[in-house]
Amino acid sequence: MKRTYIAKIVKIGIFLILLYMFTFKASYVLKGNMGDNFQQSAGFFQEPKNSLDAVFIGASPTFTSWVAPLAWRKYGIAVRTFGNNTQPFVATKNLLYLAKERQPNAVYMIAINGLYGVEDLTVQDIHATTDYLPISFEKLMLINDLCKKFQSTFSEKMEIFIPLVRYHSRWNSLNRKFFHDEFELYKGGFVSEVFFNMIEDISASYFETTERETLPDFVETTLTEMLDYCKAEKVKVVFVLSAQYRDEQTLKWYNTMIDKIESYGFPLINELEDFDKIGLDAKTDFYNEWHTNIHGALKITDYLSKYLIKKYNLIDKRDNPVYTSWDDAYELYSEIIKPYLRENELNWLQ
Amino acid sequence: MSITSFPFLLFFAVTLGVYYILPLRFRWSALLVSSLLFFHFSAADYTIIYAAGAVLVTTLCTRGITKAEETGAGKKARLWLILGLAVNLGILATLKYSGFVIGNVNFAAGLAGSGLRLPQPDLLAPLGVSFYTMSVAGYLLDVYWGICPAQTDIFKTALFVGYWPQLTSGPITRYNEVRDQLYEGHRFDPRQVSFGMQRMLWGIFKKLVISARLGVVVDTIYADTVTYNGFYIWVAAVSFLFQLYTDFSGCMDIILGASECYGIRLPENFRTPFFSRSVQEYWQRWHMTLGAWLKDYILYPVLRSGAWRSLTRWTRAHLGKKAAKQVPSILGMLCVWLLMGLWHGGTWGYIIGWGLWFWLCIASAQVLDPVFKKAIRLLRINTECFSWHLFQSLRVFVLAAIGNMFFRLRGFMETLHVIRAGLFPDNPEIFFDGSLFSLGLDAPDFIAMVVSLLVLLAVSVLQERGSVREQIEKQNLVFRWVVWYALIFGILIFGMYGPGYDAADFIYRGF
Repeated sequence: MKRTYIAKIVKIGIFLILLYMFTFKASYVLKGNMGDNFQQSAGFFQEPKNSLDAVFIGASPTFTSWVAPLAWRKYGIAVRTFGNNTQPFVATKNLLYLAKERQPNAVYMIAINGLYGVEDLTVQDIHATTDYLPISFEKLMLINDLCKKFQSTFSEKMEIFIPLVRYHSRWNSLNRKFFHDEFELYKGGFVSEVFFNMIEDISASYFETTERETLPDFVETTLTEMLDYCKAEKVKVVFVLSAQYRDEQTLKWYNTMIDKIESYGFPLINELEDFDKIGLDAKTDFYNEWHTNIHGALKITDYLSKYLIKKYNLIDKRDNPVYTSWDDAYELYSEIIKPYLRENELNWLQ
Repeated sequence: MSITSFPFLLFFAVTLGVYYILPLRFRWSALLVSSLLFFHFSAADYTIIYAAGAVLVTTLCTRGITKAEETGAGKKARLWLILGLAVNLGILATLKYSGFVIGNVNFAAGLAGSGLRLPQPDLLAPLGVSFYTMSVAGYLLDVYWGICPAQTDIFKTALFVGYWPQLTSGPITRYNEVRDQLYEGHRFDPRQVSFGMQRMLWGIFKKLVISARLGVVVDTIYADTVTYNGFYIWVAAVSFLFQLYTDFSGCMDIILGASECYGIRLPENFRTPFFSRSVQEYWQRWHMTLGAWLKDYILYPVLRSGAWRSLTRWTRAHLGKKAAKQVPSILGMLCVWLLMGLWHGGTWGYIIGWGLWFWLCIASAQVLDPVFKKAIRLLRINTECFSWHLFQSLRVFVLAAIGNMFFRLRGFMETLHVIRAGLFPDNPEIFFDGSLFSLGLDAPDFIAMVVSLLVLLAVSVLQERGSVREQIEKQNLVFRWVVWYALIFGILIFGMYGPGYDAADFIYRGF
């Protein structure tokens, strides 16, 4: 009797494990592994363990301001972005844990942009942040955390934990592409027509303030936890406030965050303050109010590269045979961006 | 809380766990608490007052009937019975039919030129009122007739009235059938729980994969019968029949499966109705508990009543023996079918179209039976072959599809208009030129719907031979698991649920 019960329990266990595996696979296929979020999130995990000099974590301003293949070509540093388009700042803590497991010795640049109100973050945004992360306990914690902070309903939670609930309706548009992961080989280098071609003058909307405002509770908690973690684990971290237009309210929050970060003694690069030092031009270096175009990105890449090399003594790895994929990335990426570069920028391709 | 939603699955898992953790003698109370929770999650809380009233009155009246019968006070027992029926049916009538009555009074007043205009009441009926009222009325009559003893514990009566699986869409239960099952705790039986869950899966498949898709087609066509006429009407009629079947029987599969997990077997409501060879048989296989209830508590008492005996005698004397056999039974059936229509809703569409249509079909079949038999003999039709059975089933199918149009369209005149629009179809090209893919479903979705209907047909054929789950159980493990995985992924991938889909509620939940 007892043996029969044990056999039944084992069978149920195997049935459920297989069910989970099939569901996971089906979700993975149906969600369609393509687009920026896939390249930036899943692409990060394609890098060999402990191979990166630095990781730039954050929302879209990271990969629209960091041109990894060109930084490699010019300075020989292997720095990748890790994030996605609408990633909220409060996800950074868990993403840092995840990235740290894979690249324990890297320097971490953490963008503090991406502040959302509770009602601003949609289920789709949570999907975008979490869907392409490999399955792990940390990923589940991240989902749980985001759902809690953004007060997701039970049904919303279910569709985030089980992405098949959202993506199953794509079955009738399945094609071969869905079954193969196609990673771009640009090391996170952003490829987009607007990024290359578009110029928007944002000088009129540029705004400054020295005022401070209390952070929303859940942002404050995340920031404190992350700062405590970085301190305890002695993480080499530098916080970055990306150059982008923000409303008055958000700028006040940023000021409060900066105070807090500085109170822990961590370095911070404020691209808004260093606008001139970087050489940014609000009239020509942005493709919209929130993102630099390729011209602005090259300036920021240059600025950050010099900062990283100087502060963390990063060594030039260009002759290291382990990093040939970075050379390949440069070759591929430079071909793409060449037609869009200004004359004074062509030195990046030498 | 829809019974195909994630919150429901969570609710079910938790209540099932609690049920089996509790000692046997307390398990029925777990069912009662879970029923209250289900009510709370699924309906406006205040409407529970109606259900509580029904429980209280039923407990009092059945006690009164028992006491009166013990003391030989037959008249008193009858009064208790009448009180119990009056209160329970009164609540149902007030909640469900007051709008219908007032609407007709206003209409009649308008015809008479009177300025009388009574306001329409805005009453919210409790969950499952039509179903539990029938169960309670049957219970009162059973106690009165001495078929079953009265339940003295008001909480146990409450469980009989409000047992959550039957609140959504029935089935209409008899006290005698379920009392032992409800109140005795059931030991955990993995096979039974597994069977229950398998049945729930099949029900969810029917609802989310088949019914939801058919619903899109039906809604598209009936929303614009000017554009969609001719064969489109027939497509909608057939689609709706399948939609209603997969929706209602799917709901039953979920409910009966869930109940089976607790160890409680509720009565079946469907037995492959589309294989019926006559309308009468169809109604013995479709919504079986309602048909059986009306037969036992309305038809038989009516046929046994003094008035009907007098009618039989009168008919025999004036119209002959043959008519004496048929006329009273046909008139008795008329009462049943009028009530059948009325039970479904207070509209003339239900009463005339739904109730009287099927009565007309059954009655004419009975009256014309000798003519049909003669024609079959003359035409030398072999009635013992597959093609004849197929013809009979198709005939029932068409008649049921027409009847269901009254159900779907609700308005009597509107239904007649739609039938007229499909009466002489002149657009057969819609079956060949891709027009069917413009009815809200694209080609892959349409194909998914057709394939799942074929799966339904295959399962129905197997059901005619016995329990499908038992047949699968006899197979090897790999085959069994492939079947269940296919079903689970059929639902997960092809089901119309989640973001992007507006999951419609079960059609019979509205009653």
